[in-house]
Amino acid sequence: MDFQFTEEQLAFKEQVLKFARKEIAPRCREHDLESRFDLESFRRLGEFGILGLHFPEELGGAGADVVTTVLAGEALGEAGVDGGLTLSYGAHTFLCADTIFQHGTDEQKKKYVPKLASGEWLGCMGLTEPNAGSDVAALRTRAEKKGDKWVLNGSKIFITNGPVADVAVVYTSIDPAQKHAGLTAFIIEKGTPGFSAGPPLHKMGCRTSQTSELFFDDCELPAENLLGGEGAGFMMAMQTVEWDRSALVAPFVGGMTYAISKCAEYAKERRQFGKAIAEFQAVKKKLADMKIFLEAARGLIYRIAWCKDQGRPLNHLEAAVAKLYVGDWSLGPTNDAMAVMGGYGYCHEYDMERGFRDGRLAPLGGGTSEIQKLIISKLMM
Amino acid sequence: MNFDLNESELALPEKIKTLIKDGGLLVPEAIEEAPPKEVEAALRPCLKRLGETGYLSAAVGKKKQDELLSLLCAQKELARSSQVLLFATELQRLVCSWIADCGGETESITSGDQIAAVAVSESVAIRTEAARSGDEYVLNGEKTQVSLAPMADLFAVCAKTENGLAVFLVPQSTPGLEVGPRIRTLGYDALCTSPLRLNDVHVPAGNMIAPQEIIGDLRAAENRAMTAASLGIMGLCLEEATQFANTPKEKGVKPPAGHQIIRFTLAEMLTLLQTAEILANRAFAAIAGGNREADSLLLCAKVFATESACTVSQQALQIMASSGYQRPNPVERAFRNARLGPIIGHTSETARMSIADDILA
Repeated sequence: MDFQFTEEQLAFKEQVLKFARKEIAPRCREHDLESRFDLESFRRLGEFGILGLHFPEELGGAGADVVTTVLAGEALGEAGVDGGLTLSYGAHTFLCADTIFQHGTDEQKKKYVPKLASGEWLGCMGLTEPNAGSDVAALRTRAEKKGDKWVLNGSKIFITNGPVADVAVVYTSIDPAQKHAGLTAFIIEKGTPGFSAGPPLHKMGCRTSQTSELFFDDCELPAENLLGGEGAGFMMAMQTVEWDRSALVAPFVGGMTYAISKCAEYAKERRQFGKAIAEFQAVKKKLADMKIFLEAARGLIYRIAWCKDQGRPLNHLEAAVAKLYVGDWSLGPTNDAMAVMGGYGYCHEYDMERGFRDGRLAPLGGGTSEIQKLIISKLMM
Repeated sequence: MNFDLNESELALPEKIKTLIKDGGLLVPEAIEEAPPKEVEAALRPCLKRLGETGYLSAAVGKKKQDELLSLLCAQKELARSSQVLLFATELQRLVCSWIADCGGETESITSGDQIAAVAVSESVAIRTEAARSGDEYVLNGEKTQVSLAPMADLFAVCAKTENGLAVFLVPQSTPGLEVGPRIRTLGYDALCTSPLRLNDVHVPAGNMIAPQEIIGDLRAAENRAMTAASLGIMGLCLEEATQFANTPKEKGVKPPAGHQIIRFTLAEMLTLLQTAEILANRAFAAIAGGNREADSLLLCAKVFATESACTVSQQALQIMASSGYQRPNPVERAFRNARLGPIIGHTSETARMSIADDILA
């Protein structure tokens, strides 16, 4: 066993941290306050190389390993980048671009991955529906074959990047009777007749990411837009899970490092009863609990990243354990971070209330905590 | 980065697993109510067998810290069947580490032939004194809680000298040593913890060793031991509770695991176990590698693992309902033993303060 990072991995993390502190983090507050997507920051992430980090160079990526990708995500959070932007990056890179990269034909990969890796195009992924989320097999968006075309009808909800995406990977059923085995994915470009996105939903947190419904109304697609083969959808959706539990969660875990350093700084300056509040044990306990959560969460996401780098088969159990822990156990420390700063913690400009709101998504999005328990208990029995 | 144990790291845990599987270790907890003589009779052969596997000499002394990670995996296996044995062996390892670091021989203990006891804690600060008298030291004082005292061959007694704290190796037969009445404890009762009085105990000057950080070493050893014990407790509780939950009370009746609320509790237990395990592995690896953040990471792991063990053992008892409440049974024992975790070594409170100090530094 060895938990050391390589020199290169650590150096790159430092670079991302520097870049994000200077170029991205100062823009977050304003956008969060107005619930606005920050396209400029997104493009900067693309220019820096973060959006396509793990893709091969010939597809516009940097060929980085998964551990490096996770560290880069952690660095974004550590720099104070808001959860909306990192969620937007996660949905774009891991749920959309990576699915095309993993399952696309050569033509599909060449057409979409470089543009997504650079940030020229924005991607989203559509799986959840009003009546199908945790129960994936119940999804009702239909794709019917008519001649050499596919016709899509139905709708999706809670789709991150929905209103701003140029490309969507959308899961449909070609045969509801077949349940999981009928799930099939398609690539859909913005502007395709019959395809539209609703207005952004008003969310508690992750506000700079735009989330909406997607509508398919006799939306015709050529056969070449089929992604990964008929009936391959369920397996593809499940494969994104490891990314979801490692790289997508990483900025959130890094955010705890940011919160700890902000809170420590504040606690040393803020004086009450004649001394810095950092000297009060009640404050110190909160800082310690935040740190314990941070270190526990780190190990879990590094493990998934490392397993993925080793090319190990789907490790659903470990992924679910990580998601469950990071999701459910984060509620205390993000609350503590706000509490340390008292009234300031409750105010927008100190970032802690944002962290609390953004973090509340962790036990909900990408598989609720209950779904993780379902997976874990099924696999452990 | 590598989350797998390599072949040499796997060797020791495998040996312990085999030893347990072959029934080579009696579980002293099973006779925790028995008088010290009977507990001793159960403990000695266990130590002897553990000595034969090399378990007792692993990671002894500062020079062998690189064995800590492999040791942790072996400790977990041992603690799963006996937390008492785990703790007893860690006391041996601490004494051996002090001796080894000061250039002495540890063979009689690492072989499992002799039992050593650690006599450090007193009611407030260390007041036991060692006065120089020619080629000897004369020790006077009272130790409040000495685990294994009624069966120890050798006591490692911490006392004040004119040059600060030192450790004196005192054979059990030395006149003036007096083991007091056994203190009954909620858990780990088989350790037969007792007070120890020292009345004009004469010890040759050569029996004095001066490790650099006696109290710090003791705390660190207890922190590591409790972290490992907690992983064992959680593994044991999860296994027992899962087995119980999967067994129908009678044919045709839904087993407890047929209920979602029970399955989800098991999932939470596994999540705590795996999370604690990875954190502990990272902490032990950091100590072995001499990392700057090792101390703080170990405290994080210790607090997380020991508090999780309390939670997980409680959840196991809840699932097992009245069956778990009956004695004797390993889960009920583990539940009681788990309670020691957050209160020895660094308590959860002192650990948190120390973690925070590190952040604020």
